[in-house]
Amino acid sequence: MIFLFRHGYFLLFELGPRGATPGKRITGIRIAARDGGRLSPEMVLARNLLRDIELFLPVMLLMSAQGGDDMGAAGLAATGWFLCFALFPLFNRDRLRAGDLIAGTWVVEAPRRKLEAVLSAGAVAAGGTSEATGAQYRFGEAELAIYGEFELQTLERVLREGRPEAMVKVHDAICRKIGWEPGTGDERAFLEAYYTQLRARLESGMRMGQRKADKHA
Amino acid sequence: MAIFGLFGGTADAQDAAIVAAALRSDRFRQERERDWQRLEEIVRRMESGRFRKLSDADVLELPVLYRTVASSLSVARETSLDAATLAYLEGLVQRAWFQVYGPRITLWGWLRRFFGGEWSAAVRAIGPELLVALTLMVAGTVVGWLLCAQDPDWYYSLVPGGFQDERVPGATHEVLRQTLFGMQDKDGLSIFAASLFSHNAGIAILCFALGFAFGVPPLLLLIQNTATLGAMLWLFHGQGLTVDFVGWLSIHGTTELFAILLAGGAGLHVGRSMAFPGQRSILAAAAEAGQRAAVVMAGVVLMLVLAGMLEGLGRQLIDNTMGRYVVGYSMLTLWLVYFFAFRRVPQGSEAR
Repeated sequence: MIFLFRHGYFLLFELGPRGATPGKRITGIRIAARDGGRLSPEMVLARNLLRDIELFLPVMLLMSAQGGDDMGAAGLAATGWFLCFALFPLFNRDRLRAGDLIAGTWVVEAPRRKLEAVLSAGAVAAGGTSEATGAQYRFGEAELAIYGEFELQTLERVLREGRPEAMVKVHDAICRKIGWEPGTGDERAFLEAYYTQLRARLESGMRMGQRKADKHA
Repeated sequence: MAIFGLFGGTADAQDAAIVAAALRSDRFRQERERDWQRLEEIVRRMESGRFRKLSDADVLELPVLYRTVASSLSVARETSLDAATLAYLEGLVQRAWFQVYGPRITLWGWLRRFFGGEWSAAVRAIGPELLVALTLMVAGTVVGWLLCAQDPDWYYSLVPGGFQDERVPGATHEVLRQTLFGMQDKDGLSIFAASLFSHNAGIAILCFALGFAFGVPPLLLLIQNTATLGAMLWLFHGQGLTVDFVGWLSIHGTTELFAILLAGGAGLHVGRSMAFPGQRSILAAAAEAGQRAAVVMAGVVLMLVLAGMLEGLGRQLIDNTMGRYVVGYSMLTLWLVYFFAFRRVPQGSEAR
């Protein structure tokens, strides 16, 4: 019964169209064939059979050793055994566990992402004009040239998360860097305008075949 | 429609929002995001297994949409710095890839293929290892016997405690005979049978799973466990019960020992492929052998369940040596014929 359950659970879900157990789905991973081909039932079977020696064997050994007087030796053996397989992924390049190695599979990240809103579509972004204050943000060539793609993506993350204190910090940092006097109360509009204009500049560079990875490049 | 989306978008997609976007890369996205979302919806339905809700149009459009979105991704990688959109596209293309090129076989279909020839083909493919494993099992039995014959104390170290009830050196003919026949009434018997099954299933899986330590542990396991058998054989032989003991063992043992033989062979196969991968890389060799061995192992588990049933029911119902021989060896014949004479390879099989 236990045998059926502990193998059935993994087989049922990993053979399904998602290739992931509910736990894997929640953490945004799934299994895939290492050679880029189809994931076959044999692979799923092989990687799950190995779980018996990786996990269940030492656990069983520990449980059967409990209560006995020779707990020390058996416990030590079980722990060593377990560590051997638990640390196995650290010693190969693809971080494969023993089961994945034998089965020819690996576990890949497969996050489900929503399509986020377009950041450059607002009125601020288009004209650089703030709705709140009516101020117009226009940045010159020199003011945009100091940052690269890495900073652009950091800025994008800050804008999407939308945490006010983070925006204030980034706003102040940019102002210091480009030599503007940092104001208060209109950080979001400022950042959106800067983001759009910096992205426009970097993307036109990209089309010309010139990329700027970060501010040091 | 989907194809045209790739080359600049259709008129109806050009709504007010597109005009509002300031960046070329965002306009690129706005022109195509309907296709993206349509693909996402189809993929989502397929992932949740609701194939019935897919219309024919959806199924026909899936590959076209997949290529459209994949091409959007490659364009976006070169022209857009919108990290969120890129991440979304990468995730979507990956999910769609698994649906377009994923396994198209149901569990039922796989089972039919498995019993219809893939299992026996896999067993035949590990033939050389089976011979080695068989030799080891015979050798283990002989060693167990000889050790006990030399010094009865070996019996205690070879046979695990669970078997050492009344079956110890020095037991009388009658006591030993009692353990072979007429145990229907004992309550403890079913527990004994169950523990024997899990014991054997454990050994079988160990034999396979340890194969990737280059096959050495399966060798030792096979020898150690058949030495137990040899020791018990010696014990019963000493009291003139060899024939009855073999009958007691055969009724389920032909299936069970065969299963352990297969498991050992599978383990050796994995170990040998890793030690001598030939032209392939070690990882590729291990993966290929591992998948073949997994097919064998799926069958081994079934055989062990069957052996457990034969042991739990058959052995208690058939209380005479002759009947036990008949059942045991007709099972063995059945397995041999199925594995080695049944050579049909089912359609669509990937068995090598």
